[in-house]
Amino acid sequence: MRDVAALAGVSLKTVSRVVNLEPHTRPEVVRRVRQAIAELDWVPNGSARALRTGRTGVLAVAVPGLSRPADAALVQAVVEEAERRGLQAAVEPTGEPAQRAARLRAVVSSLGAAVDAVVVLGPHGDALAPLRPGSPVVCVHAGGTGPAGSTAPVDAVGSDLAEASGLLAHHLAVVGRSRTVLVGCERLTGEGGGLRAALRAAGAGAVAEVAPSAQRREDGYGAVDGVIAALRGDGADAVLCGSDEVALGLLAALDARGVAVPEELVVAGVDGLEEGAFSAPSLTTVSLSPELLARAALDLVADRLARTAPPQEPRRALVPVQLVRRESTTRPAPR
Amino acid sequence: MSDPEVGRPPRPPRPTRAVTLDDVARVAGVSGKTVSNVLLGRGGVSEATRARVRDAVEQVGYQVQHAGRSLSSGRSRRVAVVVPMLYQPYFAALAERLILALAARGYSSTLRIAPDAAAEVAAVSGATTSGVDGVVVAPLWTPVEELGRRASPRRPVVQLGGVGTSASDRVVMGEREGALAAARHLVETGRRRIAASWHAGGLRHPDDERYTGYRQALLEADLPVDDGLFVTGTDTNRRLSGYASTVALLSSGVEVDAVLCVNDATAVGVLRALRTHGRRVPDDVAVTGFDDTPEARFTTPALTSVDPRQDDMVATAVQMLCERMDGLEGPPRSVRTGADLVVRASSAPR
Repeated sequence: MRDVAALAGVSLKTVSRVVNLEPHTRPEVVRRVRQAIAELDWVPNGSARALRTGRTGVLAVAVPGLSRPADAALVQAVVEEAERRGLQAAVEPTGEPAQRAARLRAVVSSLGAAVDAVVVLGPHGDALAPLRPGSPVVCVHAGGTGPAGSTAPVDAVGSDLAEASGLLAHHLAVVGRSRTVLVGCERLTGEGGGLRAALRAAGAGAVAEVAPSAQRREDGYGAVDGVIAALRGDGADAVLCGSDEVALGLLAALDARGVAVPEELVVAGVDGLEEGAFSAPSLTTVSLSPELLARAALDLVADRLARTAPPQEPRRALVPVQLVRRESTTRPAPR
Repeated sequence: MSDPEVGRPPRPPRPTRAVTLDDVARVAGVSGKTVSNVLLGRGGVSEATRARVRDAVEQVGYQVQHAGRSLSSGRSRRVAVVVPMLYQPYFAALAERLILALAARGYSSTLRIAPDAAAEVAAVSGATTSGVDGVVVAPLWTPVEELGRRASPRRPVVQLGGVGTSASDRVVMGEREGALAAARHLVETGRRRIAASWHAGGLRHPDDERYTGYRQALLEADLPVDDGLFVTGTDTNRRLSGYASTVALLSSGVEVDAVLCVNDATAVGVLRALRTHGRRVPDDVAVTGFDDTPEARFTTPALTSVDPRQDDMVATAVQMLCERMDGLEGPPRSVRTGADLVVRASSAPR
């Protein structure tokens, strides 16, 4: 910066004014400073700027991990939405549950210094409880996928799981199914989901539940014995999976075991992963609309930064979901 | 106004607002500039004054802010991980592995998604990643030569993959070996009309090692390298790209009994296109991928792929970066990792 000031023939303070877009600098001086910056290939130090202006233009996105495709899709959507609004996104991995709270606190403690605002993806325990109400922090899917589960005094966004349950139950009834197996459906049968009641109301009640906490493809693959037992023993004719990953694993296992989908069993998931459009058969799912979640989260956090929302009221936003009908519940896949 | 008992200025009332540098200066009875000189470890301050400032820092509970500290030492024990996108499972898995491997070495990470060349250069050069000690980048948009030039002793850069010769440390994936093994496997299992489903970026570039491996296997087997069997799509929308290029391939009317895909996601699209167009896999057409992503084990049929030993790549990259961050000097290094063919049902012999 000294070199820039010397080359432009101005004071350090003037260089800093120009870099920080402060008013009261004559246009020809601004030009001279910018020329000097370009000539010297100088990169203004972001953290020095943050100390002076109080704004970094950086949004931190805290996320447990990236190996789950639904998490990766959500991070991608938040980053794109941030960039669309002129904020630079710094993705901060918080890792395994044991270290998550400490890492999360470290991210939040950089508020006002290294970052302007924080989006927290996924469950966060009580790590955010000490935050001041009105802090520019927003939680997304704090309760797994719903907005519930956040005890933090800050804004939260989640998917409308009751709507997801209703859409799936209604869809099963429409395709003529009445006896449902639940696989890895914990997140829909809990608070805010109401899947069992929705299925009963639609006339497609649950006859069996397999591996309620299944999450990954291998879990779904491994659930096939339980599903086939329900098919043979309980006359099950439909399977609902709590995630697309579980459903995709199960589809592969059902194919290996010679169970025809959707003729013998219809299968549906939740998430809306792109992979589901390419599987055999392609997968009916409820899309949790990462783009809408990202937009809702950034709207809330922008209000906080602009101080246009009442500071004491943590807000909760439910984002609608969308049924995506594909081969796994509707028609025989080409083979 | 010194306290007779301890010979120090009196303890000030603990402020309810955040403690600032000025509070430290007031208590120590020095200027703010002097406080920052002490905190930044600069010279020109007497030891007595240093001690006074350190005491004052402790007394008022001043915490050196993260942003402020990175100004001083330039050592933040933070590393920037730069990937082009997260919606392709390969890059999401790579990013996660890098982050875990860096954490095991005591480095925290900040991840940047670089959707274009400008963002990639900005993240590697420091414009959007100030205050990190080093950068690991999986380049997609910018030639490795150009990104490598952004490395400096204060900001070492390690590149993972990419095409060309780098001016920074680099891990080279076993691309040629992997593609060669996949193509040889197809030849050995009796396939003769082996198509390649590629992305436009690597359009038979002489440095495109995967293509080189594919071509070598065909030449070894005296099979013609047929332009009509080489189809391309995009590298950013891989599943769709594999689907579209396969539909084009089938409708061109050429005879095909295998498709070697540039990566798994492309292969997933290829599998779907073959199925919807009445071709059975592997009976009519064998399919292979590359990357061995988790997706590959659960396709129908399960996908033969190439495991690029991502763990090795990550461990090597992190090791090289740590050595540079610890001050190692010298010319750019290039380390080549291996690749293993993983045979599954999608390429079973007829």
